[in-house]
Amino acid sequence: MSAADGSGRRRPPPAEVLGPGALDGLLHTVASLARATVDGTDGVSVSVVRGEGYATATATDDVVRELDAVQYQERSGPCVEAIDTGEQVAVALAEAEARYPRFAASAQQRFMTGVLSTPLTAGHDVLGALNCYSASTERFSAGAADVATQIAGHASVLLANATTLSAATTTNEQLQQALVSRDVIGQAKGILMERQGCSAEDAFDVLRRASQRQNRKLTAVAQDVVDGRAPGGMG
Amino acid sequence: MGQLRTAMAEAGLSIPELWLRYFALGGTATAAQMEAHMDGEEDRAFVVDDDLQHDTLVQALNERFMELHRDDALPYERG
Repeated sequence: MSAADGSGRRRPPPAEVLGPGALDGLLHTVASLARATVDGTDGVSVSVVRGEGYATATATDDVVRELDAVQYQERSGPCVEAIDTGEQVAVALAEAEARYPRFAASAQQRFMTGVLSTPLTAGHDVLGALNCYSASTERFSAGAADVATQIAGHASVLLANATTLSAATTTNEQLQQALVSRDVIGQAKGILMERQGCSAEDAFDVLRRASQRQNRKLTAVAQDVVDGRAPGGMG
Repeated sequence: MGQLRTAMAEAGLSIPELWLRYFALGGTATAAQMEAHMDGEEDRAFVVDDDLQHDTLVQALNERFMELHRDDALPYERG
């Protein structure tokens, strides 16, 4: 995480994020993807920096939106902390009463048990946070935290390209496909890096050469690796 | 016109369309940086992983050529 040293500067994302428009749909896609793929997640929101405060750009349900608002009011809670420090924050709510008194109480009244907030960064700037709320898990696993980090990475690149995407007539379906493809390729690179002890660049080269050899799209080749169906010569 | 610009025109893609394909393959630069790279304006282009970003962009174009059943693939920087 580029802002992991805590020196992240707050930077509001493009204005369209907070108003009606293509970008809201785009962030909603990211939130839905996080709810479907981050293990233990029941509700997701995307917080963004607005002036000196914070705002929720999208949420998968109203409870999550309300709990975000409690954090903004108090300027205290995992998503506020993730934005202010530029670092991922995971909390078990039963143990967070001293750290975030009002938020922990409100969230538990709403039957929430754990929260995982991951900052959205562009260079050294913090644009917002991806917040995963759970009503079933107290502690998100390391694997879930990694998936959240990957999705936050996708969201950050999308936010940085908000203007391009608003101008293009990109449908939600195309965007969803692009996100899924990017995710599969990211997973396949991770598998190859671990298996071959190579860099992310080298892993991409392996996938790319296999794609050329087989005359198939890189996403299809990456899906083979993720499914454990990688042919010989790919490690 | 640069080789990448020519290829984009032959692929029938606009900058936003090409950028979305590049993003889907894991590209991390903005559309403006991608465009600057295509025009050889390297001071405004990719900030990190230049070769990887270039090859990701080339892959996006080559996959489009694959869809169009054209087998004249563009060369990669990293071989």
